[in-house]
Amino acid sequence: MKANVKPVEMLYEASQTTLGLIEGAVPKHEMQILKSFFRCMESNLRIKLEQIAEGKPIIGHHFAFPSEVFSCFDAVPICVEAISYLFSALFTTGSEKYYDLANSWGHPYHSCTSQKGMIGMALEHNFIDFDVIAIPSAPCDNTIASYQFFSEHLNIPTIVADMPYYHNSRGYEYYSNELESMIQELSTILNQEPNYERLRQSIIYSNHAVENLAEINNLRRSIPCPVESVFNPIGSAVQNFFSGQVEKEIFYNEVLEIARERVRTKKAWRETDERVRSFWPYMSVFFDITFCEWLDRKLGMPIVTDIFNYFFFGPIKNIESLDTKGMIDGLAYQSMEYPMVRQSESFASVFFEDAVNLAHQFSADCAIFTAHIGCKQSASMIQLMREILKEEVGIPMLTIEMDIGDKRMTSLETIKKKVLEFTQTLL
Amino acid sequence: MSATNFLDFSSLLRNAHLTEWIQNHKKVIGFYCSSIPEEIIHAAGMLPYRIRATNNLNYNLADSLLSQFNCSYVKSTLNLIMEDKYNFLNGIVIANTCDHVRRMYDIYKHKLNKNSQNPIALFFLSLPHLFDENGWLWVREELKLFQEQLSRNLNIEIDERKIQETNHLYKRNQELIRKIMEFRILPEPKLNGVDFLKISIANSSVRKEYANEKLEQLIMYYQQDEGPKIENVRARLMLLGSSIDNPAFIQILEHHGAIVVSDLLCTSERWGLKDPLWHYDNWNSEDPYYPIIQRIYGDCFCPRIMNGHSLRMNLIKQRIKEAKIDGIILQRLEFCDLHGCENMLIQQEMEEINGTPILSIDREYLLGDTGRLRTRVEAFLERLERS
Ligand code: SF4
Ligand code: SF4
Repeated sequence: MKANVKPVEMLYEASQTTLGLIEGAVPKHEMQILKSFFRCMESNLRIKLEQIAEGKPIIGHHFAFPSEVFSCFDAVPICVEAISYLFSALFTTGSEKYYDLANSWGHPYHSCTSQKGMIGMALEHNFIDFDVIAIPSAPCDNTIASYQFFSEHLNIPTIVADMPYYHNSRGYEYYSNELESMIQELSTILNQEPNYERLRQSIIYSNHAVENLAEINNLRRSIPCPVESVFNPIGSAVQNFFSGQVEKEIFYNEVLEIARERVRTKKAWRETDERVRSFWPYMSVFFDITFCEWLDRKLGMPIVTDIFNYFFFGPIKNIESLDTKGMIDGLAYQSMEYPMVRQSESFASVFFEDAVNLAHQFSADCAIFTAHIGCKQSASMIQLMREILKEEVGIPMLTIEMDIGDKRMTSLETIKKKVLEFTQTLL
Repeated sequence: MSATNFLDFSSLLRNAHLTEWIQNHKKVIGFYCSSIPEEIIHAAGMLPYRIRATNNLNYNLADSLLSQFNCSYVKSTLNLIMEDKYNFLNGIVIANTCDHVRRMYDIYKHKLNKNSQNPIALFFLSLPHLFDENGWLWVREELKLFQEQLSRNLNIEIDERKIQETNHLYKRNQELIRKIMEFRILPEPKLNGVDFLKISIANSSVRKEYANEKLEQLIMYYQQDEGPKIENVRARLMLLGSSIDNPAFIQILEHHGAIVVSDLLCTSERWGLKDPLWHYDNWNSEDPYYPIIQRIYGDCFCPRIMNGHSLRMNLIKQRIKEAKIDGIILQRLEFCDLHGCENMLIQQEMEEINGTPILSIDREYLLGDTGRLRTRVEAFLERLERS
């Protein structure tokens, strides 16, 4: 029987349509990053759908996970959180119908929409037939609690790699063992022997992506910032949806070329001057990517970086000659230092230090914190973050309470109004 | 002092025993969750004290640090801390139990201790989110490290013999609580849910030698033939969900003649669980840490354990039978994701599969609109009577 992958098919159609629209209607030199993303997205989803049609098993996974490990198997990885949020970004009513279904079934209104969307899809039987789900026990209570719906209510085999709170050698070693056991469990469930050469290839793609992102970030420090703000929400999707796959390397490569060219020619890519460099210590808005265009073009206020678009780790070294244990150790380390996991799952000192460093490095004039209703671990730190950025970097911080995946909690108009009022105090 | 005076310890942060303890220049270590190895603190000659929000009236001070998306129970405790009501603490131990509680460590580190003339010692435990062998061995290492840190920071010797002795004391304490739990589930219960919560809270605010003495007196009191008993119970309820430390909340549920005969709350009945929830096969009876690991980890009933849902459900079903439950009250503190999602699963499973009627309540720590709650409880009891 053909696996149900309706949400993936819907996303594929939406990507095709959007790509067609922007390539047809937008001048060649404009929205280049968005176009690159949709090209990668379209190709990634097409290949995934073909593989699923061939009968390959589907692995559902969490965004904070080194999905390189799945390349050990002849299987199709799909990120649960990315599906919910790509729906909210690409469709007019987003994932709203699914959020409402999940809420009416008892999922608390304050729990994260990143899993809620998929819970609603499952309740509508408009779900993805995952063969197995593989997740970490991080970075938040929502991950811990919401995934029990999939394992307990839907009875999908769910493998959890338990992530310790300490991001030190003891913690990395423990987590590496967890990943190793996960590969063994996946092997049993999928009835396939792990192929570690495929894992190596996947890490090679990721290594290039890590190097390219580091280079992109170097260029983003230039004034004016050579990369559109839309890179931030899109970058989050790239991290999570293309992780360990060739499209991640391709996307960052294309963005890097665009950024290099802009810095080299010092050619402005928008009419508006850069007036205020905004640093988003947490996430950007996911439910409407036009917001970024508004920031760039109307306000001259680029998002110079956010939590998802900076890696605090380098590529896995000597990948060509590393043994299996070395590869898994490298992935364990990287995934514990993964964007958001690093800042949200452990002590807040890291979160504060990272924010201060990034604000300095990117010459930020201000910070904007999206207080996402799902993230209670960051909600407790917002006031302290504001004080620390003021004291150590001398910049003010605006907080906007919202649901990054549901426009009904705080509308785009309200967000824009708050940002506008804030900029007026800065200029 | 009559046996029941012990219950009054729940209504104040500083009880008589604590006051005397502090006057004798002895140390007190605060903690938030059931998953904290109190036994090691006790063995170090200190008083482990479970932090609670008793008598907090508002969030005025805590609001300057926390957001509107934080659990109002944790917020209330922070408010009391900022009002200096917890100035008797010499240290605090926090674990990664939930997102709200774990951030209290950071708030202490980056704010409260920085602004204080008497910063307190901070300790942290990283606890696994899975029941398995790796988790068990990790917790053992954590306990060892915690013990070393405690000794170093507070300059106290803790030897293994002391831990063994403390384990006996704690085992006895759990047995006594279990005995009192039996009085709850009698056909004519000897005590109601309000009183059991008060006992549990008092029990977590004193040294266990003292607690055991008081619990024994209480057992004698409940055992008397002429002792208290509750007749004409309208409905026998089970209470599940987020942490509760305020007896006034249970009083509302019991206001209409219903009795909470079982609760499985982390602040209450979980202390007296009869059987292990999850057990490590290679149990080493010589190891003084093992009973502690069993209590804080193997018996962790909290939804923070990702592969523990079916074990939790089995225990709920077992308690429903033992306590002859008519209906369940599932309550969630706003913004408590762990219990919120677990309640969703419990509700679906219990109502659809098991047929047990459920009332689901969302609440804030500070009891605001009690009228509405009373009406909902009354309607639920009528529903139980009809079924
Ligand atoms: S957005 Fe926040 S609440 Fe949602 S999954 Fe990520 S860390 Fe958890
Ligand atoms: S009620 Fe929930 S959110 Fe509040 S402290 Fe307990 S587990 Fe955490």
